Amino acid sequence: MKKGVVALACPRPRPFWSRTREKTKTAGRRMLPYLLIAPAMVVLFVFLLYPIGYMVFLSFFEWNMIKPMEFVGLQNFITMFKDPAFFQTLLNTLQYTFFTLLFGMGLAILAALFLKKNTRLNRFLQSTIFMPYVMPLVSVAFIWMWLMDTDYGLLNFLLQTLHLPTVDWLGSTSVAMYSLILVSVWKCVGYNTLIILSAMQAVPNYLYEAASLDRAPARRTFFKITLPMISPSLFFLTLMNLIACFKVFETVNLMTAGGPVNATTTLVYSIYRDGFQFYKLGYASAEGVVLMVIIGICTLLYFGVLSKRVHYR
Amino acid sequence: MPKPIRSTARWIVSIAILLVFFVPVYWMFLTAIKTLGQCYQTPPSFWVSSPVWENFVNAINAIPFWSMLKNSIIVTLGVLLCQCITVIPAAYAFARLRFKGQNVLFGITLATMMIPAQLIFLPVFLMFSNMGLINSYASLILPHATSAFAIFMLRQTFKQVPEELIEAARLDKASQWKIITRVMLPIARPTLVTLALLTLITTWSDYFWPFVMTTNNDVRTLPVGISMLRIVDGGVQYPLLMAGNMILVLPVLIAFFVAHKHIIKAFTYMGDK
Amino acid sequence: MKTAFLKRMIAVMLAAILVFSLASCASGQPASQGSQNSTGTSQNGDTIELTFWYSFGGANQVANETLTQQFNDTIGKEKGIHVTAEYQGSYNETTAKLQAAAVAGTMPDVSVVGTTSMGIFLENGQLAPLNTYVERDLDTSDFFEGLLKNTVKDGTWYGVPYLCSTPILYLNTTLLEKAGLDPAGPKTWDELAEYCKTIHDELGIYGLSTYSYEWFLEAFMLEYGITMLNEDETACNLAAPEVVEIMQYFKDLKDAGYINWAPSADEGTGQITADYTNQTCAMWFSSTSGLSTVLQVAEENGFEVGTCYIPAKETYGVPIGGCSLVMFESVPEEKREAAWEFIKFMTDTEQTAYASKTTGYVPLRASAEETDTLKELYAEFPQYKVALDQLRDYSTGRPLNPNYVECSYEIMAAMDAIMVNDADIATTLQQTAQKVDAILNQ
Repeated sequence: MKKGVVALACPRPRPFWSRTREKTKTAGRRMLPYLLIAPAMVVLFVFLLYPIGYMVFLSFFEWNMIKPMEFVGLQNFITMFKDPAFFQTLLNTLQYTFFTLLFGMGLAILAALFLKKNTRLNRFLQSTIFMPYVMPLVSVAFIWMWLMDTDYGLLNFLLQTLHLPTVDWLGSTSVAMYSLILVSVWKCVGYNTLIILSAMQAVPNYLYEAASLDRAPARRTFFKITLPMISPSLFFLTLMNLIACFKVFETVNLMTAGGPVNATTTLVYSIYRDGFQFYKLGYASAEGVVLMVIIGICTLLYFGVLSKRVHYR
Repeated sequence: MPKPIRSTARWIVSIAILLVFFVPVYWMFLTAIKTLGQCYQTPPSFWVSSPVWENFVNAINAIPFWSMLKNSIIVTLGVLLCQCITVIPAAYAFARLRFKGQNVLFGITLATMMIPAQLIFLPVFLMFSNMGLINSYASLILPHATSAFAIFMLRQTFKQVPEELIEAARLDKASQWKIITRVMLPIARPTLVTLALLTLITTWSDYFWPFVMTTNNDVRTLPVGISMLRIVDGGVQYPLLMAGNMILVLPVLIAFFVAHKHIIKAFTYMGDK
Repeated sequence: MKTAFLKRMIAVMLAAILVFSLASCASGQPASQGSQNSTGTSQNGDTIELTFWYSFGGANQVANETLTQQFNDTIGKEKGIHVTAEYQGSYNETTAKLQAAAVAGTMPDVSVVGTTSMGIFLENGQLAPLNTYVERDLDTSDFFEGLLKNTVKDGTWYGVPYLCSTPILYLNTTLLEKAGLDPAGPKTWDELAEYCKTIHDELGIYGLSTYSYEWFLEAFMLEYGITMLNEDETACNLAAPEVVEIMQYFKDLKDAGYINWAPSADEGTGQITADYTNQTCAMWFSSTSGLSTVLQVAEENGFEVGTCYIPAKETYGVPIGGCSLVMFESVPEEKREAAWEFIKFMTDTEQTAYASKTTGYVPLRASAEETDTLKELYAEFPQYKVALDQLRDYSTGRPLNPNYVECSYEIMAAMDAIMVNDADIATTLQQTAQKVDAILNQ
């Protein structure tokens, strides 16, 4: 894996800066990369990694912020894995992530195919579906909360006008999660579309010309040419969406408060609630450790796949 | 499929897309200029003949609006400036230099992208308290002084800079500094613009961090103020909330409509690796 | 080689973490214990600077900021005290911020604390006992008894009630009259059910609109003559047959279409507000604290609003809500007298009358009824008086167990499960009771 990345970074056998023989200069040059990354690394270590270390530390303690910390070993983890509510939280998070990815990417691919031709209307539509992406998540949550109001929301009014049964968008345990997914898809589909579209436009034309000479049907052209060619972008998007899904907090907090009956309690929301409403810092930290493990696995997977697709470039 | 049907279908889908994405925003605007009674009317009206602009005045008067606006601008620009300083050199080093620990450090950088603020704010809050920096711009700017995502994206861009260009610069005895400023940055301009926009948007929109890091209104930003319109004992009033929401969204939307071509182009470039 | 390298990196990382944690510990106990003033100048001349944290925007914000300003302009000026009022979100958010500030040593001097959060602070011994000041300066008999249940523990005052409320039944009297009902409102649960049915049959709208809220359930239980938790707060009474009866009563009404029951997140989404504003319900349970807003909405939309006690089953009864003013143990001795001056001012007769009028919270003291402010108010809006009478005669405290905040989530989830998901009532309550008991004793 490492080899691949290095090869990617430095295609030449010897980097140009190492050619000089002057000793002091070489030492300086050896330090240079570290100097360059230092500011960023300091910020990351102080404001992200140190707090994570602190969290790992706390996960072995019982602490309500005021009373002295009490070392409890793995007790928090044991309690957590015995609690069915925790598994529901995990399942909720997976459900949210899976469907947001499925619809967010699926609709984006359809939209990209639809908008492929570079016309004025298409460019306008592109801007339109991208618009929610630049809006604050808090504002988006407020807007949809209001649209999804059971009795006065626009959505149910439209359903009524069409003589369809109304939906208890945020009040029903079976629907609430999909409502949150709908909001997150609405917000992110424009970004996905844009990235996929640009990847499609970058596919060399001669490939399509060859396909049309072979009289390949459109569907086959899509699966045999377009999809493989845009797969790096799809991969990148999957990662970005995955990150956003694991982090989801604002919409849950504002629109459902984790309810009804914990149907929309996601991992981050649960961590925040256990820690800062129930003051079980140790337990919340243990949940945080689980989240970090999941995140760590994702990062490793990313690196694994990245090294495999190096040849692509 | 015959052509006329095809093009009709196209139009129908296009209009559907427009409705799905414009109506919620229009609805926010409409609610913001309705009275409370009008806003709960059934069937709802899709047009208001006498808009209630006072909702905006009331929203602005209910919170320390102008100082929060100032804070929002200071924090947003501060974060942007800091990120320029930290991200560009780091991205260059990760893309073009070779050093021990590169992969591990880059992996750590990537992993930090996925850490949600809700997990880490307490130790950071304690740290700033100990330094007496709660309610200071530093507590809002420094934790966001770098962006793993930006480093990642910029690194990808820097990697695509043709080796010959750097070679040429090197033959001219250009220093590392010059290589960065004269060769790399001009080529990466679209990416830089996009990243800057992303930073501006996320910092401008952030509610959680400015709320938990502050205990008074000295440095609080606009989203915290807008949420004061929602956190009311005894029922939310949608017209007032939507008016506040409009104020928050408006700058972003205006910027978007003025510059949407550039924004789209910039984002397109980024996906185009 | 790769593993060795990895190990080294991890070592470096750990070392860095250690250094940072040491650094933040070393600077640990901050020099400026107690309040850390935003202005920087904590004591110039003789002026004592105090910080006061309050919850909620809207009418609460107006009342808090105005009263603080009044204090600074009058007593503050005279005695050299200056108070800065600072907004901190909802009651729960304020509590979270106070706890974080306690760890950091940046507590304010005075703060509001929500009724159910009092237990958390009491358990941790963070509240300064106020008995010396109370005995010296307050006529304690003037305060309504129910209000003291959450601030006075075993004879010790840990705070003074401040913005307090109770649940109450709001009535759209215009609609009630249209349906041929007595606009005075239902007095018993049987009458309530009848009202709901009549309104539904006559007008085709909901009789009552409400949502899953443990505060309301506490009220319903009080009317059955039982409390949410037992005497020493080690177990709950959720599994009692009375609670099954309560839930069955509302479930039947809901299934018949007579009432609207929204899920617990409603505090944020405001379905009830929508229902009464739009006159699609004729009655609704809510806090007295919203009365001023409701009256305003009613006027804008052309209907009359009445209030009445939450109907009785065995008896009347309501739990108090809202918040108290507290002084923290972290406040240094030399500032305590000043902090007390502020607390005393904020809860005094004239001020509580003003706050009551601005927000709809009930006045704290019997003497407030005699102020011109409230006399005028009650003459014009007798609705406020009903809230006061209910408070005086039938109110009691809320649980003080520090884990009750967590329990309340379970209780609301159970109410949601029964009303929204049609879960079996007895089983759900049984299971929830077990969970709540476990949480109470953790």
